[in-house]
Amino acid sequence: MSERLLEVKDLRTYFKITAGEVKAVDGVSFFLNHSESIGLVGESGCGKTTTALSTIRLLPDNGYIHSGQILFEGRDITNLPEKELRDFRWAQASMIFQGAMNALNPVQKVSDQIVEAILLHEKVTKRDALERVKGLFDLVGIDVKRVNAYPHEFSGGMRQRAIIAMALACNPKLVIGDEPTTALDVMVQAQIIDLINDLRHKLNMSMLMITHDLSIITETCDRIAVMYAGKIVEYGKTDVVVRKTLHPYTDKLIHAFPNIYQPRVMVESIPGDPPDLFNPPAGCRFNARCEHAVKGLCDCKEPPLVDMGGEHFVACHLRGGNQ
Amino acid sequence: MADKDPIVSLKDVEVNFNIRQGFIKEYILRDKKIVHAVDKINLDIARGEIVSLVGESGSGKTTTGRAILRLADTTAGDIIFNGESITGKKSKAWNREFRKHAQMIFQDPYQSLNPRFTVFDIVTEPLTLTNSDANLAEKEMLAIQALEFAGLRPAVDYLYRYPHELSGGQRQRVSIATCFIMAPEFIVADEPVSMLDASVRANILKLFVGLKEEKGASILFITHDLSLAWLISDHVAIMYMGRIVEYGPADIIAGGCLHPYSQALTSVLAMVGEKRRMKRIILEGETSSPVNLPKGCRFASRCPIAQQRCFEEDPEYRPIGEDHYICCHFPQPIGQLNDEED
Repeated sequence: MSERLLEVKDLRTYFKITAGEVKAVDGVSFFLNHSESIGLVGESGCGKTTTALSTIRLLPDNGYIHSGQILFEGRDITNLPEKELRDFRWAQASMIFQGAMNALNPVQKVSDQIVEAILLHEKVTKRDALERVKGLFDLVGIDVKRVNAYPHEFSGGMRQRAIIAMALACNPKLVIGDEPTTALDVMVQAQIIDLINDLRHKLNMSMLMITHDLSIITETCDRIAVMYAGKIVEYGKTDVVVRKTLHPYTDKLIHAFPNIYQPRVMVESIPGDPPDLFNPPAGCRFNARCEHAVKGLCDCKEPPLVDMGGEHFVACHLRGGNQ
Repeated sequence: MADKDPIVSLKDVEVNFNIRQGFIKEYILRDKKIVHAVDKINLDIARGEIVSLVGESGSGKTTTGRAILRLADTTAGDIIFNGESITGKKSKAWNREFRKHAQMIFQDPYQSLNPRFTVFDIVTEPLTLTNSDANLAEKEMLAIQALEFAGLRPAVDYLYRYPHELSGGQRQRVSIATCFIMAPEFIVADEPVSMLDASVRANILKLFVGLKEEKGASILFITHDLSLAWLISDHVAIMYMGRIVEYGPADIIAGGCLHPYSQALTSVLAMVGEKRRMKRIILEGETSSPVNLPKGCRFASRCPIAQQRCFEEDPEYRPIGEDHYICCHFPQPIGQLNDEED
């Protein structure tokens, strides 16, 4: 078995709109080893969700993979036909959706919705599937007696747990979490993070986590990939990226969160707006908002993602590459 | 609560909501269900300070804010605004006068702005509603001032745009300008940054600090984010099921909390690039809605250090140190700092 579970190579995902094409993901490469977890972090509109949706080929109708390769256990799924994709999704890679309120069907029992997912992928009887659902409920910490409940009878935290149970229904090798804790209360958020960490150890689960909240990534992920305007600007082990930050954008992002253990200083915003991906700027995409930007270099030449040693990659002319 | 002349003072304020259950249950069986959204709250907000009201959803923090602005009726207790009781005040004329002094900023900038109004219409609407006698040119001047203060520069570029042409951060700035055009002394800001990206959040927060420092406004900042409360406020009040369980200087969030609930909340905060300083206290279950209140402390069933007395006797809201109030029988630090463990 190869070590790599998922490998994304130079992925470009574009969206067709009436005026042309939006380059939502523009040359993203990363990999994920077995039983590892990686977090994609960035502002809204940076392409993190599009990257994740591309890896399970779940893009909306106007989106398409322009070029690049997605290898899942060495198998190229970039051009897999829809029929085979259906077997691949959920059985191999599943997703925990964001809105626990909206991701469940309100007129169907929660257990039936999970049973449905199992029956679509495996040849088991309905009774066996229901037994498995009970096991899953137990695993994610929902009382098995609640197996006949409808979504509205669950609290927000329980619904999120049910969605996690659903994602685990077919023992996938990869679970993608799209802001799995965003709409939850602080304490419930802590419970769900604990649950996810616990499940990762128990089931040896690999995970791709999408969030805008850096602190959640530091709690759950081994690796972190910081995205900006459709590109990965920094990538490496979570500890290294957070403590030995190289890219100015990552640095700004970290300092946008208050730190209660440091003296009270106002957090800093990143000046300006993210660039328009319909017409991305030349050179480094962050150059217009970067205080270190060098004229004639950063706004002309695009920085490559270079390895700074120890699998810590950065795409910046000043902090990485050829000094 | 040392301040002798607070701008807002809540005394045993209660806000209850009836749950409609249908005619038979309510009127024949006399089975009325009541949500005690806010239950005997005491809180003073001094002039020129930011007080954060922190709590999970359903803790009654928004209802408290709305009650102060007379947007929700109080069931019992008294609210004093500028030395005058405003409980039960309703008349249109009074309202018009009151709104010049107290304003609210809502959470969702995508829904709180009328999509058919231009920014100019939105920002100057309060002037129209309070029968301001400013003419069009003066209104435009005021709108420009307000927008520039809110960081939309040059304001002339934004005056005749519609909300859909603005980003989330810009919309929230329009909300703030709308509130600021009345130059109110008191503002309730209900989760004003929770819909915004971390990278734009900071500038909006700075506006609130600016309102306080430059204009001397007092602000009740409602948030679920403890680290933001710590960052911008002078005092914090932590709510649980309709009660303020702890009140104190904002610094208590960084490790000075004594109520078990506040300690649990602060213990799960993760700081990017920092080691944990406290043992995580993860509470079981979720906050239930305050419909049938238990006899004793309402936190007792989830409290890690609850004792028999907690289930029998409702704790009193009492001072525990200078400027520090608590609603607990056995306040004590439970998640000690530990250096050995990560």
